[in-house]
Amino acid sequence: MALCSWLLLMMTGYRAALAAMKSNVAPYMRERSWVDHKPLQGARGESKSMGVFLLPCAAGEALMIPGENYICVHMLEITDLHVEVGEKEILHDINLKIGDGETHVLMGPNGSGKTSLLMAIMGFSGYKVTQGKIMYNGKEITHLAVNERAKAGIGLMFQRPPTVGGLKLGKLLTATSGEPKEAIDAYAKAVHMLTFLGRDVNKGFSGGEIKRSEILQLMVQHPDFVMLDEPESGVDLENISLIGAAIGKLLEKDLHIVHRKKSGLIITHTGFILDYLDADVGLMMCDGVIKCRGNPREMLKEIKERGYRECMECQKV
Amino acid sequence: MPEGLKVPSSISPEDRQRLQQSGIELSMINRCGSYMQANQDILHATCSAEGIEVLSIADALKRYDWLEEYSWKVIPKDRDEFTKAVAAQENPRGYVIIGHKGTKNILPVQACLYLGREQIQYVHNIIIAEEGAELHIVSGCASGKHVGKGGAHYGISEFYVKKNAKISFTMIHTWGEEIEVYPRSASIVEENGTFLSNYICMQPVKKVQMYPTANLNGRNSVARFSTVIIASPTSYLDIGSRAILGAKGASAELITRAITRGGTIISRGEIRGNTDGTRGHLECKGLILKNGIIHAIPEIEGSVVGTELSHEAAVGKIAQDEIEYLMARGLSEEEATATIIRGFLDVKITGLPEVLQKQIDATIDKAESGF
Ligand SMILES: Nc1ncnc2c1ncn2[C@@H]1O[C@H](COP(=O)(O)OP(=O)(O)O)[C@@H](O)[C@H]1O
Ligand SMILES: [Mg+2]
Repeated sequence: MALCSWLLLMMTGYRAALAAMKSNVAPYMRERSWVDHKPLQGARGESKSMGVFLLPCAAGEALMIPGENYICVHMLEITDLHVEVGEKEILHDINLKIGDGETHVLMGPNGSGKTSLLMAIMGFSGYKVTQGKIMYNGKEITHLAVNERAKAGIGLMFQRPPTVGGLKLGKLLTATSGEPKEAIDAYAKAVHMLTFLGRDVNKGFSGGEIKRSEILQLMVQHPDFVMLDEPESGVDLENISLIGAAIGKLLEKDLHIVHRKKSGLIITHTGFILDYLDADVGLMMCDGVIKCRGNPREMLKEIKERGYRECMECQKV
Repeated sequence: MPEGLKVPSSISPEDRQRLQQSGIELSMINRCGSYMQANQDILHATCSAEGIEVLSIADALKRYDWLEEYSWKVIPKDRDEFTKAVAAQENPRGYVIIGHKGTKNILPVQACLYLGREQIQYVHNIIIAEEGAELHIVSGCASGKHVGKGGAHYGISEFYVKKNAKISFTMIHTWGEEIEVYPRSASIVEENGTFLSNYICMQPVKKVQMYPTANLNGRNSVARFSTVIIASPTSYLDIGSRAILGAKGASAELITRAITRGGTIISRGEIRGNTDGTRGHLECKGLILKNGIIHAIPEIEGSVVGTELSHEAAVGKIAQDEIEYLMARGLSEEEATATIIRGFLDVKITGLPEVLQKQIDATIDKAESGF
């Protein structure tokens, strides 16, 4: 079978090979992972050994392809991750897979470790990985420098970013973007930040202004994997639609699912943000452990009705 | 098109570069007048702006009898060994810049003091902005790259800001590693007058020691000192600024940004509030990039009800979270560090003409790219 598909692939092309194999695919898998992706360049596209391709996974579940011809790689795969903050273990045994085009929302009580998870994925030095690994597009990034991760396509909107005195927001955007000034201005205008370009980054910004500034920085950065830490907290109702729309765009929610490549991991308490992006998976974190996994809207409803306790008891990981 | 400065051919292209770096436009573009002194030779003293005079101090004292009233008045001759040495000069050198009543220069006057030999340069300057005048000066001081041990600069500067007048004085130093520098300067600011003093020293120098004073004698007079200094491993910078709030409504702001890359910085500051209705703020922020010393000594002394004085001093390192924040946007660690340092050094001085603010920004950009 393996050899047969390989030959078929060589002879008739990728799509035909996929079509031939499709009948063996588990029903929950999305169509798009089969028809949309050509053998990829870089880590995901390299054939590991004769006849085995790395493909992006799109469904929430791990994708095993019969015949061992294809190994499916999630955009983000975290296995057995333990993270220490200030000598104390904050995250314990985190396992998480996020496929192409998927958005996961991360919920959980204050202090449960949500921010720590995002900071560890971004590679901040205060968040020490003591065990486990983080894979991004099939490459291990557990010990990669922060800027290397950013360059690989990971972007983070900070919950509480530091102030950088003397550095103008406009200058930072120019430094991080290859785009001309007009393009940057257009992004800034879209999130009502045009008048902030001449101000020091985050200096004296209100809660909502910080969120808009963070979104703007991500818009300029064009990340493939978007992490947002409480994007709606402190934002008034008028601006929430603005931020929601900008986030939707970042995650390519305007594209049909077949074409959507961008993935997200979003921390939220309120669920406001769910109105702007149809999240695929909800995750519940308690005491540094992902305790629950399910439909995001249902989970949120349950939290609203019963608080976090109910979910702490849920063990359907 | 102004005629360029007559620079002696003995000044090498490299040293011309150092002058340029100190804010001196050899072409005189964007400058309304120039004074140039190389060692003890006065090469140039002209000004094309109407109502603004740039003269050598000897000529000026000959031309205007009344100038005696301003010479060695705000700084006494016998203040210290340096003032004594300058006062003892038989042929005094230095410049007098006068902004006559109501005049204003958009383009600054430049004063260039160049030290090309192992000797002491003695300078005595008098700067006067008469009533309602606005005078902007950039003073570039540089030594030749290869001037050895024993080179020194003793510079006395007396500033007089009359009623409703304004002086901005931006001094940029590019001395050599063996040079010692002892500026002595003081100002008297009258009613509604403004004195802006900016000092930038980012290149290696053996020693700079100065503590200029602004005497705010007039009602609602204002002084603002902005200091940006970087100490190289072998540099010793003992730099302060002082304001004496002597009339109702007087206010002063003394801002310093200091970085050590291994050298020593003593950052002094003093504000004295002797009159009610006065305000003063002193701020020193220091960054230690390599083990060295930043010793901030801020002093505020209020002696009457109704003076409000404050100070703020902080010495530290670049915050790791700021570096990583910028790295999360894709900047490398080096780029992030340089960007933060540039931001740290950013001083926006209100009331400066655009050319001068640009000059200051360019000077800082240039030094910052070396981190
Ligand atoms: N720098 C730190 N030093 C010590 N403990 C920390 C530090 N940062 C976070 N923590 C602790 O780690 C836990 C998780 O924090 P965090 O990830 O911010 O939670 P969440 O984002 O879910 O509110 C909390 O108990 C918090 O107090
Ligand atoms: Mg948090």
